[in-house]
Amino acid sequence: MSIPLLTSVVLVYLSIVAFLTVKAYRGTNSAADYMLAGREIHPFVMAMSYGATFISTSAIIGFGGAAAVFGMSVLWLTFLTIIVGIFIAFVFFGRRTRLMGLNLNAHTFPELLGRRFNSRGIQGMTALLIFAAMPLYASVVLMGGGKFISQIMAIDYDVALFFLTLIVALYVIMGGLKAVMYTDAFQASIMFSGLMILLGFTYYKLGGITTAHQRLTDMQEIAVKIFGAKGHTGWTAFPELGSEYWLIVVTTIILGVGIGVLAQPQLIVRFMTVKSSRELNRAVLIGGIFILVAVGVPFIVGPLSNVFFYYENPATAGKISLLAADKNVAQIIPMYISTSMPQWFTALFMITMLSAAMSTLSSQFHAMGTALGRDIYEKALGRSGNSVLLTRIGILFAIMLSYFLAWGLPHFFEGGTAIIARGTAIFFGICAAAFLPMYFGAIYFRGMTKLSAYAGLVSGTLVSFFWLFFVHLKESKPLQLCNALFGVDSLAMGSKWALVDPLVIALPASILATILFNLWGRRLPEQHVQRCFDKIR
Amino acid sequence: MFGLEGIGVPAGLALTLISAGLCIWYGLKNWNVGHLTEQEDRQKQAWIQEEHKVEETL
Repeated sequence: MSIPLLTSVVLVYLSIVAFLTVKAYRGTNSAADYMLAGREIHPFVMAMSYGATFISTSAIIGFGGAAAVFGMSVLWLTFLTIIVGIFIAFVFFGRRTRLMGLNLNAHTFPELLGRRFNSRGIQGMTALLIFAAMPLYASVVLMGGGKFISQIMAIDYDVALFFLTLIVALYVIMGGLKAVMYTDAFQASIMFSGLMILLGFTYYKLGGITTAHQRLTDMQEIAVKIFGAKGHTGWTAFPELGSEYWLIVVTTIILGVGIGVLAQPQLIVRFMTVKSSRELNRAVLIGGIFILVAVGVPFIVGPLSNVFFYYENPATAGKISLLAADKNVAQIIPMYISTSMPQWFTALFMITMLSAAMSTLSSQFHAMGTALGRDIYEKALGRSGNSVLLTRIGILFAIMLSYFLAWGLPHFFEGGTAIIARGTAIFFGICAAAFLPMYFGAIYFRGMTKLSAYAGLVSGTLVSFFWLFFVHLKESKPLQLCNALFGVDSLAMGSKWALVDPLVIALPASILATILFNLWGRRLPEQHVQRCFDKIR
Repeated sequence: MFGLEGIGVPAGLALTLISAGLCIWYGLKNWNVGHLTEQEDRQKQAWIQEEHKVEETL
């Protein structure tokens, strides 16, 4: 690709990011500005920031590549992300979260829960789990971005990783959540345009919408021949019920991410950044359209890349996408872009990927930093100090931790890119199991007790980690703890339980514990509950 | 439907488009609903003042 063209595009992009950072820095004067963007964010910025934070490089490259293997059945995840991640999240969770956040003057998700249950312990534990689990998610997003930049610009991975981290660190530390959300909105607009062009070009190249789908449907025999033993029934059909592929598609991809999105701390905090519920209503429209494109396009283009590689590209003729990309799932989408799209689009796609990585990373760094500085150090440990300064130090610490993880992981895991989609799904699953019952109860049930909140948090966390370390083969095998203790890669070795995602077990366990333990424990004072639910109907 | 096979995938595509339509309909219908109430605004101003006091004390 033309290096002058690429350099120019990147420089223009970085200049706009720098301008938005300076604008945010000048408008940041208090802790509420730094942590909640002053509670005055425009609905367009809020919705686009929410979407851009949710959609990372791994969603486009990792899950787009996975769609090239599993087929269009993953479109169900697009449905869930729109209906659960946008509609239910904004309409049924967003309004209550915003009002309760305002009633309690909460600046972060752990602070909202801590103040709702009158417990510094819950605030500290929630923040600790965020700080312990999110670096894995942040590091895999960093890895995805770093690997993509190193491939496109032909530079060393370590160099790409260093500069990517440095740029994101600068604007998050300087401008806080305002800088994060302003740049997110800009980056989301780029992602939206890039993906729309990609979809248009793909359908045009393959003969139109119905023709392209039909050509993929006609490749059914090839899919069954290669993956039939695992339950594949063609790229435009659902995998065989109960098969290995069905379990992966349904429990890990569709449910794991589709439900996990409801309990993401870095997304929930955005509900508290808008001025009123009117902004949330407007954001539903904008967010719905953005997610339709951002999640839907990779899940359509990924499977259709099989038609391109098999029939249209002479260099890979007779090969499906996975084989054309040398069995590297994360290589499918970048390879499809570079071989099928015009050169100028490759430059635009590079910026699209950079935007996807940077928007997610900035929010992760901010969420981890506030968890460490505000929730753990300042609130749970009761140390006083300048909130903004403490949060900045927390963010710096979180960035360094994620950077070293992203630097180290590829050295320890062969084919490091495979871990990108897994890391994302693991984090989403842990968040859903540990936080969702407690969060739902906090904003809907006046009679929920502190003990019940603890029960949901602890059981969701413990069951998730137990299933990850000892049952779910995809993690328990590389983690090796199960093998070291019991001599097998999974305690459910040989059965289909070893393929079931932790969320499917941990979330019901957490819900059950939350309900059961609500029978015991003291109710919170009525006056406090009234204050929490003031104006919430 | 649109060259897709069986029920599962066309249903997924249809539900995706319907859910996006639902978001658009809801957003338009409630475009001007839920504006900041005076009570909420007073609450917000009170927090801002309290925060400034804490910062000054520190």
